Amino acid sequence: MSKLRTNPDFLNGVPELVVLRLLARQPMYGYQLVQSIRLVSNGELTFGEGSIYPVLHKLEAAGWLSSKSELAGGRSRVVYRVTASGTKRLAGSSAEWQRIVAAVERILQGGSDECSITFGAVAM
Amino acid sequence: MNAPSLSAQLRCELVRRRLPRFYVHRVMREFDDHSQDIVAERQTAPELDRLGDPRQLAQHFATEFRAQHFAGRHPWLVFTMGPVPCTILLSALLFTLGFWALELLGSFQPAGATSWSRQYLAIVVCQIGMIVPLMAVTFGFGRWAFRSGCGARWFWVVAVLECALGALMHSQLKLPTMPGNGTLSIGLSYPPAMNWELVALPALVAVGLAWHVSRRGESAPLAAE
Repeated sequence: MSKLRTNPDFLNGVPELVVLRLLARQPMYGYQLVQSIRLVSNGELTFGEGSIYPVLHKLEAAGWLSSKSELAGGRSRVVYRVTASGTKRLAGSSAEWQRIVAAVERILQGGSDECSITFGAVAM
Repeated sequence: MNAPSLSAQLRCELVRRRLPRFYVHRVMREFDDHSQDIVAERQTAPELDRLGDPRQLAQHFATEFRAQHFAGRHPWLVFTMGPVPCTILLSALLFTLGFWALELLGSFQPAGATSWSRQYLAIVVCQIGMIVPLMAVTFGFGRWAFRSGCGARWFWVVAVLECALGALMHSQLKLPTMPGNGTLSIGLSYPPAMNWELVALPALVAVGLAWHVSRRGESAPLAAE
């Protein structure tokens, strides 16, 4: 039996998916990651920049990211990179996201017509 | 609002939420690095709305940190139902190992050796089996309360439980006069048995030690690092 959830997974998993995807391209530190999110999303995804760090720490605790102090931009910084299990997680999350997007798209494009047919049949 | 004020606010909020020092240090290091990058980018202090509200950020950090630890997710289960069974199991283990070791020692004693030394050792094993588990569990669970972000409140729950257990525990050892007729009984008694302080006081010592070790780490200045 599936477990009912107040927040569907696809809402909770968006920051995780975005962070894993960008870090899979190249390892980055927090500020760099925030700039990447802003740049790649054309400014559509904006948020309090400090809130990226709880997400990074959570993903690291789950074993999907690893962190290491490295020299970057002339200073020592904590750089994050995706682990092997993080890569698998990314693949699974991406597939799930595509599935959700396709389902929502179907509802937005064809949902209203199907509903009127169903209710029309009931009314008769 | 300028960066140092934001940083100081965040540090205060993190400490107020009883997060362990090593984690506060990590968060502040990354936060300060990020602030410096914003200052370098814009040649001005980072605004509150760009980094986020320190109170909300600290709450987010605390929630995520506690969610990563079993004790953080289930403090009631760990710190009220964990210490007493762990103490009993550790006691049983130490008694078993201690008396087994005594039996081995007895096998190698010279034929004419007096039995007073074995009696003394048996009493020592008995006391160790009572006191050491209390101290170890009190210290271990007390430190765990701090390191999992649960804080002093759960530390004191463990301390009270273990001190009460120490006061109520008693043991009775009857040394064998013939092979196989010795007995050891361990249990709880109310009112406390005579010399209960011999067992409860070491638990108090462990409480003090765990508190001192944990708080010394928590109260040391973070800026020095």
